[in-house]
Amino acid sequence: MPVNEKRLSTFSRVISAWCSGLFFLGCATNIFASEGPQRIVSINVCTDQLVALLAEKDRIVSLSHLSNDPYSSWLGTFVDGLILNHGTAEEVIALSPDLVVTTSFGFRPTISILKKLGYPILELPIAKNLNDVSTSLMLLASTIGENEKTQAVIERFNNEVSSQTVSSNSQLPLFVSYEANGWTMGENSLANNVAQMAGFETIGSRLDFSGGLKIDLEKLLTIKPDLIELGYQWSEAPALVSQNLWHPALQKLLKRSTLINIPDSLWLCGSPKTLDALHILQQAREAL
Amino acid sequence: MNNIKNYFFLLSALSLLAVLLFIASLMIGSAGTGFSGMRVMFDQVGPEIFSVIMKEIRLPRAILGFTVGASLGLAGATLQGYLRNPLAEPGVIGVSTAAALGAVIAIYTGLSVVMPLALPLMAIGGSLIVIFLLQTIAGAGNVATLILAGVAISSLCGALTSLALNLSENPFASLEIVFWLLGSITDRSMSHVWLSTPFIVIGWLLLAASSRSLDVLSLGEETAVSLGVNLSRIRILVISGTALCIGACTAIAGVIGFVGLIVPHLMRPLVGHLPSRLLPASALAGGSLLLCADIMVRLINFGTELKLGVVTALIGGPFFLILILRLRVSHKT
Repeated sequence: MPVNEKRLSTFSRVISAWCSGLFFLGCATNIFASEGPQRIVSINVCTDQLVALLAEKDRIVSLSHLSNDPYSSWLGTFVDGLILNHGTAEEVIALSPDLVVTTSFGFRPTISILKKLGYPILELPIAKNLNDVSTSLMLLASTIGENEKTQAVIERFNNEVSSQTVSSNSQLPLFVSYEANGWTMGENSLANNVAQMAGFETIGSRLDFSGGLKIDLEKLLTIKPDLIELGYQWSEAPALVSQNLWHPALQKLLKRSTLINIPDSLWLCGSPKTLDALHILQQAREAL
Repeated sequence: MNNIKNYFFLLSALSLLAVLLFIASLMIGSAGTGFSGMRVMFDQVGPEIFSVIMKEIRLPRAILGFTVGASLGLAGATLQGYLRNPLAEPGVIGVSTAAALGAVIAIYTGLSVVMPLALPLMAIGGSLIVIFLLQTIAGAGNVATLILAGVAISSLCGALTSLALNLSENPFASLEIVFWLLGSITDRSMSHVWLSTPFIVIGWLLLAASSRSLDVLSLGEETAVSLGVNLSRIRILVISGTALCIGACTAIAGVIGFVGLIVPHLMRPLVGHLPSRLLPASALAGGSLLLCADIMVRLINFGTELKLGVVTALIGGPFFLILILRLRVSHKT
C-alpha cells in the first residue's frame, strides 16, 4: 500500500506541475478551463456521488437516473440541469463522454460495448469499509486530475477516518439493520464495518455470515438486538415489504429494543457522507 | 351401512391427520424445532418473546396453512364436479391468478392501506370475473376449451400482475412478483387470519350447500333439471363460493397451484365419485397437504426459504402430466 501511495503522490505532483503550466495557456485560449476529462459520465448511483464531490459541475455531463432519488442518493438538487442516464450503451455513446465512471458491479454488457468502442472507463471498487471509500476517492481524483478541491475533500475524509477510535469493550451491544424482506448485511459489508467502528457487535459476527442474508422474524426475535434500524417504509408506494415491517411480533420486539433511523442514502454507497451514518450510530451507542 | 361407517372413519382419520400436522407446524421454525429445540428457545428468549413467537408468528402460519389448503382442496373438488372436468383447478384455470391481480392492485395502489377490507374484496372480485368468463366461454363438459381458456386468462393475469408490480415506484415491489405467483405463508400475522377467515368460511358454506345438487348434476344437466335441480342456483353457489374462498386465500397467501388438482383425485378412490362425499374429504386432505408442504418448506434448507408454490408444483406438476396420460389412455380404449 505505501508504495502505491507514494507512486500516486509522485504522479499527482507531476500532473499538478503540468497543470499549473497549462493553467496560463488555458486562461489565454479558454479551451483548457481545467485539465483532465471534460465530459464525465457516471452510470452508477455510487460513483455519481463521488464524481459530484470531486469534479467541477461543468465537467459532468450526466449522472445516473438514481442520483436524484432521495432513497439511494443524497445529491438532491445538485443534479438539476444534468442529463440523467439509465446506463445503456446507446445513451452513453450519444453523450460522447471522455470518461465513463462506474463500479465493478452491474452494467456489464454496457461496459463491454463501451470498452470495445474505445471509451475511457474507470471502474471503482464497491466500498466494503471506509478505507475502500478513500481508495476510490484517490483513484477517481488521479483520473480526473487532482486539484485543490479534490485534495481538500480527500484530506478531510482521511483525517476524519483516522481520528476514529474503535471501542474494544468485550460486552458490545448488538446492532441489526433489518431491511425490507428480512435482508440483513453480514461481515465484509459497509454497514457492518461502520457499525463495528461505532462500537457495536454486528449480526454478521453474531451469526457468522458475510454478504447478505435473509432472516425471518423468529430469528430476529431470538437474537434480541439492542439497537435496530429498519429500512425505509415506502408509505407513499406501498408493497408487501412495508406491510411486513408492521408485523405485530416486530412491533413487540421494538418495545424492548431501541429503534434508530439511518437514511439509506448515507451508507447504501460508500462516500464521505457515510461518516454521518457512523456519527448517528455513535450517538445511539452513547445513549444506550 | 358399512360404506357410511368407512366414510366416517376416513373423515375422522383425515381430521386427526390435520390436527397432528397443525401441531407439528406450530413446533417448527428457525428459532427452535421440536420439543428440545423449543425448550432451548424458551430458555434463550424468555417467556415473553417465546409467547410472541408462538402466538404472532407460528399460530397464524399454521391456521392459514389449514384454511388455505382446505379452500383449495374444496374448490378443486367442487369445480371438477361442477364443470365435469377432471383437470379443473383454481390455479390451472386462472381463478387464483385473477385473484392475485385483484390483490396486487389493492395493495400497490395504496387502497388496502386506507381500507384493509379492499384487499380480500378486490381479490374476490378478480376471481369472480374470471370464473364467470370461463363459464361463458367454455361452459360445462368440454375439457380442452376450459383448460385453454384458463391458460390464456392465467398468463394474461400473471403478466398484468408483473406489469403492475413493475410500475410501482417501490424498488422492492418487482421482487414481490415471486410471492404473488408462487405463494407463501411465511411471517403472516393474526390480522391476515382475521381478514381472510370470514370470507373463507362463507365460501365453504356456499360450496357445501351446492354438494347435494352436484351429486345429481353428475348424471348430466338434462337429467338433473328433470329431477328438479335449479341450475342457476348451483351456478351462483359454486361461482360465489369458489370466488370467496380462492379470492380471500390468494389475497393472503398468493397463488398456490396444484393442491386443488391433486387432492380430489387422491380422495376419489377412497370415497367414491359422489361430490357430497368428496367435498368434505377434499377439504380436510387439502388442509393437511398444504400444512405438510409448509412444513417441508421450513425443513428443507437451501439457505433461503423455498416458496410454497414451488413445493406444491414439484408434487403437482408430474401428477398433472400423469393425469393427462391416463385421460389419453381412457379416451383411446
